[in-house]
Amino acid sequence: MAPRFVFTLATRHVFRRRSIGFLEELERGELDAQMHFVSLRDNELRTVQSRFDYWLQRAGPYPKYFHGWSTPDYKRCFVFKWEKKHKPQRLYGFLCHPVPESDPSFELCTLVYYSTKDEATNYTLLDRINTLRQDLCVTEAIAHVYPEYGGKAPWKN
Amino acid sequence: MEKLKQHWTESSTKDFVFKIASDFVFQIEKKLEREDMNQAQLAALLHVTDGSVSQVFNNPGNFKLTRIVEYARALGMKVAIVAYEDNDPSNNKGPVNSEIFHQCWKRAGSPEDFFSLDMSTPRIGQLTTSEEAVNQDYRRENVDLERTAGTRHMALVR
Repeated sequence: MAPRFVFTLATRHVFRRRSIGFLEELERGELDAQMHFVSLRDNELRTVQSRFDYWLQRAGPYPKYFHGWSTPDYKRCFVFKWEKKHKPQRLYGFLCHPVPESDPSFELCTLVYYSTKDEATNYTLLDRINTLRQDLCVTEAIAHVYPEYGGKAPWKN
Repeated sequence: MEKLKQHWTESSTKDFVFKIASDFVFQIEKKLEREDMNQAQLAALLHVTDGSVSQVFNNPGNFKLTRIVEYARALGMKVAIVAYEDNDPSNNKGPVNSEIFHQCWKRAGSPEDFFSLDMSTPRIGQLTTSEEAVNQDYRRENVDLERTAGTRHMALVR
């Protein structure tokens, strides 16, 4: 059976402590983070890449650029933020530790949805992200790049 | 694992300039936050419009060196242009964040000349100024926010 999801790394350089990737759903194409990212051009692309770098380097924290949520239900959700012509732009995803055996502190941010929205948090979107995060097919897709991922209980990583 | 490739700032000089100017903006925004100031107040200090500040913050690639100095001086800061070798001639890792140089300089006791540099002892993790205390707070918050997603976030998101 063909895989439902494909995971690819977003950053060309693999950092030692953290990494960022995109998840695509092959059939429905509902997960649009990667599609939007590859459509970015010039300074907007540079802005997003800079914000990726800040998270990868553990700069900040700076909630204007990226942040998670404190609520236990959403504590693994994550968002990168920027503006385009004063309009908020967002890439949503989730955090996990994809190499729990050999490097437990290594973190991965898997981006799934793109959104243009105001400051109010869209919890419906976060719920969808949580569902994806716990989907075994998603775990399998990430495990193609990080074979250690998806041990006994990947969502507890 | 994906094969090691060059960092995005190696694509063009414009990309590299954008990244290092972004690092400068990041430092200025942190300074504004520490001083409880907003962009409008910075604009007033610079005798420019809010829109002008917003524009350079959103598009740091257009920052000129003169303007960088003006922004820093308006906030009582100084600027250094640092050339360095980091054993990465192909630029696989991208430029080192300017805030790292700043923090290393502070940890070396903020030497003002080569005499004081020779006499300085690195003070790793030691709090010496309110600014370093703020940086320590950032680090602590970072752990909270990114591992347990701290409460401060939530308030900002809402």
